[in-house]
Amino acid sequence: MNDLAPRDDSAQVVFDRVTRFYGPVIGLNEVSFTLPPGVTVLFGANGAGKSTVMRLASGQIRPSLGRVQLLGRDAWSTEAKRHLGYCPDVDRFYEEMPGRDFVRLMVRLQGYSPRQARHLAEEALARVDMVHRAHRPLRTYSQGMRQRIKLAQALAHRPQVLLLDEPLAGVDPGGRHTLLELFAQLGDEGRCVLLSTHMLREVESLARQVLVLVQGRLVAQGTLEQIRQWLDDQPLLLALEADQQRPLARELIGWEEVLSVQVEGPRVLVRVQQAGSFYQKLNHLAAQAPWQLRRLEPLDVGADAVFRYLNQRP
Amino acid sequence: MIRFGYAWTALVSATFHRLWWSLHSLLLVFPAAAICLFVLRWRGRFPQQEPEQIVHTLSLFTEVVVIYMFASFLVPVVALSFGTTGLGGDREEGTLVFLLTRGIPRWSISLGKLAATLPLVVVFTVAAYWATCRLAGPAGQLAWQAFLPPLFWGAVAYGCFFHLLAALVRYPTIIAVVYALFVETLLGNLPGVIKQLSISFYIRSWIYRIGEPWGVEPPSTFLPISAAGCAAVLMSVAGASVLLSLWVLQRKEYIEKES
Repeated sequence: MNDLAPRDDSAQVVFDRVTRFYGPVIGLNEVSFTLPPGVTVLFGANGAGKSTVMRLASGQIRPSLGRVQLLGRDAWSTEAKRHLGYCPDVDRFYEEMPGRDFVRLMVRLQGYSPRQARHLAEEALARVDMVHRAHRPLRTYSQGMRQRIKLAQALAHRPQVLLLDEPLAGVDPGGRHTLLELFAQLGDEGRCVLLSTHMLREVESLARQVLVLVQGRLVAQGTLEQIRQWLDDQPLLLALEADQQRPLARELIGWEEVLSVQVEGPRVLVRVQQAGSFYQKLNHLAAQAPWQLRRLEPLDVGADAVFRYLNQRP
Repeated sequence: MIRFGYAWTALVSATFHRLWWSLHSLLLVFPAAAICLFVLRWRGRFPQQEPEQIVHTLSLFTEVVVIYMFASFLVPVVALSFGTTGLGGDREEGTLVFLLTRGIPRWSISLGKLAATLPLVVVFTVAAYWATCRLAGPAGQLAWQAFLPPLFWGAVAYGCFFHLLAALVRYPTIIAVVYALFVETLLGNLPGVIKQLSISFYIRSWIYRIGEPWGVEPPSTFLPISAAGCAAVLMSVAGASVLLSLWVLQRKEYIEKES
């Protein structure tokens, strides 16, 4: 067996003040981050710059300014790519080739002997649950199967850094669950997994870190908890239910933390700023008021709300 | 080094296998077969019992078959077909990303693709020429020995040049067809020195020089250069194209289209 990638905690991807222009258009604007081992989710809308990050990290393109490093080496270099597994978002294959042959070829292109490539390819096919379907030509595969083969070729040579660009696109719900388990497993093995998606809700449970890109800028970085904490002082929409809505609304409208109040059936919708301070005052009020506060429901504290908020920033 | 060897061998063999079993290979059999059929019919009209008859037939064979059918048509078509699809196929299909993100030097991808492509171009050209010469009788046997070098080096030069086009542009087949039509066909047949911009000029020049003793004469507007000069230019075109294609692939960013 050839030497495999080293597995230690120093393994990481570094973006250091990276800017990338496409002609006059800026694709990425002074982005800096470091990826530790484990799963990091790269989150952003279409056109936010996710694919640019992936292309830079996989050494397909070079930064206009700044530097991108994989395991201490320039991401453009051949040495860095020996430790890289890349699952591109483009759905292109050697269509006439059986899935098994394709994965084997990709392993062999990493410098493994035919025998080693056979072994590693089978291992990868087993991990994506494609062993019994890999004999068919790729053109006969469903979207989900093609996605699995792309994943298999990315992880077959056991790379230390895995870049997965929209790896769940086209995969059925059952398959998604299996693949999410696989990603978590890869992170637990100490590999550095960067997973790009525009559906954060699906992958938030396995994210050790989340990077949020908006219009080429990195606008948030950290765990989801940290990002939510940061958002604490940002406008937040809450739904309150009390046995008397109008006195509650009257009370709230005078608070400096409250931006707007709207009575909607049994609920009072309140948009607040400085949510921490608001919660404290609300607790106080609930204890003293003659009416009863039955329910408090934040309507946009989920991961999608983080994104929505960040996307609306001026 | 061993890792590199495994990777490079895999790249060459996979590319060769894909090209060999492609539609291109099958389609190229038809023009080659058409030339063979033409020669088979043509042979009966030219007796080759006497030495003078053989020389006369050789002169005609050189003009019609070697220059017009091979040097001006089959060699560029075969080179274009394989030369642009070795590397260009991966670019057009969007599969180049899988190669560029592997742990092998980028220049070696270009070299590997060429190593798989060039033998196909040369073998196909030489095999078709051999079959044609065999069918042409004694004159053909003389032509086989005499004109193989210019056709061989012409195939190599075209093959390397079209490979370079594949490294340079996203849709090399279209550009190569345009190049073949305008530069090789149009400029290559204009009077004056402008025709020296085309590769086919040097192949034809070389053939005319070799054919001089048998009375093979160029048109009055065609002024052939020396055989050594032709050989030097064709080899230089091939060498420069190879080096440039390695440099281009090593440096150039390839951004695949979104699916």
